[in-house]
Amino acid sequence: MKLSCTQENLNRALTAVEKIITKSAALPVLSNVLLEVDGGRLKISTTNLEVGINYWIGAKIEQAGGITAPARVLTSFVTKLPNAKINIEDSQNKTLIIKTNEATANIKGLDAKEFPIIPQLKESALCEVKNIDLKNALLSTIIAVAQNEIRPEISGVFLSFDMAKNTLTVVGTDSFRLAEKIISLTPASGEKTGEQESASVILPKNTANELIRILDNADRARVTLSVNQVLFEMDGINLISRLIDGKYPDYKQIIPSAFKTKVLLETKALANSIKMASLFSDARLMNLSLKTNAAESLIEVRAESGEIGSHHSKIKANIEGEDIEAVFKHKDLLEGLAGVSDEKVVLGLNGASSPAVLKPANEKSNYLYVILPLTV
Amino acid sequence: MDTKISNPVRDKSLCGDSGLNNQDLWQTVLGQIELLLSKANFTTWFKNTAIVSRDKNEVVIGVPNGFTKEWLENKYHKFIVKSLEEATGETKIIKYIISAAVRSNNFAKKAEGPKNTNGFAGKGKEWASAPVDLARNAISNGVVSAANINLETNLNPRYTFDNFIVGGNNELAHAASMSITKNLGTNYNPFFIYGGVGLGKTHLLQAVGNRVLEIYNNKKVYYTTSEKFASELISSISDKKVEKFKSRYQQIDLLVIDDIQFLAGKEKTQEEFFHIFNALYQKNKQIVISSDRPPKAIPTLEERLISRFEGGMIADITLPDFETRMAILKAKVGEKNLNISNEILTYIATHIQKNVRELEGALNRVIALIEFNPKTVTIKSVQGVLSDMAPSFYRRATTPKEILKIVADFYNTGVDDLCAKNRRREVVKPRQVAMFLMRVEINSSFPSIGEILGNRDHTTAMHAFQKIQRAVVEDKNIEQEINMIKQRLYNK
Repeated sequence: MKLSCTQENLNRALTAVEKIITKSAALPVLSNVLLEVDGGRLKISTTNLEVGINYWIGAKIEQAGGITAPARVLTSFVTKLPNAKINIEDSQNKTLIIKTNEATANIKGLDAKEFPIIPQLKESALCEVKNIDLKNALLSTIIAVAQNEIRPEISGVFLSFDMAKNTLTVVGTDSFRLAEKIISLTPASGEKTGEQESASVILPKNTANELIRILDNADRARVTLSVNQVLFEMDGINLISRLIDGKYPDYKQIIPSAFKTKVLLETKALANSIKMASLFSDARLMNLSLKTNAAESLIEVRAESGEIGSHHSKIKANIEGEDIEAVFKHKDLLEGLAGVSDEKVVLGLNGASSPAVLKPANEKSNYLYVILPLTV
Repeated sequence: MDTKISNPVRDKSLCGDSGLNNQDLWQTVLGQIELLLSKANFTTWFKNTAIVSRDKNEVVIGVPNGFTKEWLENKYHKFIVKSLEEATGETKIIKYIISAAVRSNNFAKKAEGPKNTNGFAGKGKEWASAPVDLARNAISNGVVSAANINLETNLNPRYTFDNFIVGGNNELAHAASMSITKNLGTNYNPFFIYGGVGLGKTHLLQAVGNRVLEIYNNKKVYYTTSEKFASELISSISDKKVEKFKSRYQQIDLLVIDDIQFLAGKEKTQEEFFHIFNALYQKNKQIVISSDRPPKAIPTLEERLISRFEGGMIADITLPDFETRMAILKAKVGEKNLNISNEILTYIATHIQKNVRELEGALNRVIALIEFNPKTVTIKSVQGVLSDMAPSFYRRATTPKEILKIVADFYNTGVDDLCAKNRRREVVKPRQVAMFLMRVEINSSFPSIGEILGNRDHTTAMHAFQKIQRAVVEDKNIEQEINMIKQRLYNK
């Protein structure tokens, strides 16, 4: 293998792919990056046997071939090089040689043949989504995904492709709260609306995190589903991941359809008072109480902790319905509010022990956050 | 890594050609392949694989994911073909499919638990019940379900104040314990009990817990050993449930920790314990701790923990005197409704001095003897039974050489240094301790002690003996050190 490319391209590719690497004592090759000449380009791959990423960058190829090298060393080294042309070659598949005008590094690697083969899917693509939409949807739902894997089916992000309506619904929940965002999709080119079957999958949380990291450019991502696997194809990047087995809970039934009390208020004002109040709530419980005051068109935020003190603030709001007081985790509220991009937010309450809803005042935002009050 | 390869049986039907069912056939194949590959490769690529179906022409192998599929197809295909051929005697086409069923087998069991219809917490129930249940599970999992140990508190109801014999050796510890149960968290907090092996620390600790349970009905009591605390912490770290672990401890009203000296050297555990300790202490929750030595003498215990332990009440339990030993024996005999002559009890009490547990053991032996042949029991036969029991009844003779070696070991110097001429501070004290021990333990003459330790004058030995003898009374540290050296001398 012999080729040359720019430091900028190589560095971008390496930093994008190296994050998924987990230390594996059993298979040392898994902590390596595979560099391989593929067509007229350089392909850079990593995998942890759950997720695999291929990243292609432009390069001037002199001789085909491939080698793997430890990701940590390679990435750290390339980061520190100046942005100039880099010459890459290997010696007998064992050592990776990186040269610039000033610096040279010989990195001990492993044979490319030992690197796991990143699967290719034979199925045809299902649809395309805008990168930025998918990224935002993942960002605003992943916060609600369960941290542990006690229940594997909710330890990932739920993706539901509705090919009749051309929508992709993204959901995350940990059974105490739930975030749902609906974005639009285009059926894969050549196919007409409704010709492909709707499908839904559960994407592991780590894969979702990695996707968020690489879904940067304003382009579109192509999605292909297969048995137990999913493939996201972007411009020059492929990410293939296993899916979580299991049936995602029928989450629709916990979303309240009506509210006893409906509050309309400014997103920023609410976020601000929650942040203030959070300083005074119990460090472990993180509890603060929201109380509506319909008579004065106010919502009162209170927090109190025996060790720190207490806090009380009022926000102007439009309130319809009876007065309700409910206690929430401030962290949950703030994370839910972060997904609201509108200036105004609707808070729907159903009492001290029934799920409450946060959603943007503008229905077109297609975002919904359900949160279960703390019952103290 | 889990090296066990699980092979879910998809189709148990026997196939005509070879007498093997799919599972056995795959096991055979795996057995052969295992020899050809490294263990890491084998477990990585053959975990959760199975023969999904098989007919005259082809064998379909189910694999858990695309990576495995690619790898088996491209790298290990020929191994699999060859092994299958050898096992069945026929050549077949081999196909690989990603089989969700094979994969899910892995954690389907985990997910099985009590199934909620929709998977969501109903009306905030999950908030309230989950942590409590978890705590309960964690506690009960740790306990080998011994029939009479309280699963919630870990206490053994057998240990109470009523069957605790109070004597001069444990008067203070007992009084302080009693007072704690009356003024939980306010009087002596933390309460630190220390004393040697088998002197009743655990009994006293558990008695405090049991009494508190008796008096108050809403107090949470939890008894644990520091070792169990550490292992619970470690497993909570690996399960990423440290917060739960901490909050569970922080809800306790009376925390009883036995054998705290085993925290020595476990820094992370000490740190967590320190935080839990502080949290409880600030809320005026009672903490009771035991150890085999005072806080200062526990090596590598962090300074901040030492100072906190010393901030409360420290009481020691020493060796029981003769009267207490007699009282203990009589109480035990009374419990069992037996009749043993005072003469025999006196014999046991005079000969077993160091350890209450051994005292009970000796008594049990005598009781057994009496049960077998009630008529012929005499002092002589009791002597016979006890003489062979534990060597520590009769002090094993030690030699000056052994004392030198153990003292040198204990203080981390060499035997040569002890006998050398120099008078550096770090050898002077060990040298004097060695002289003291030789005098006390083997009754050597001063001139001979001087001679052993580098031909010193007998007055030097006398001075050393007197100095250490005084120091033992005045300085708890020295006393502790001497006791530990003695333990090493005799408990080998």
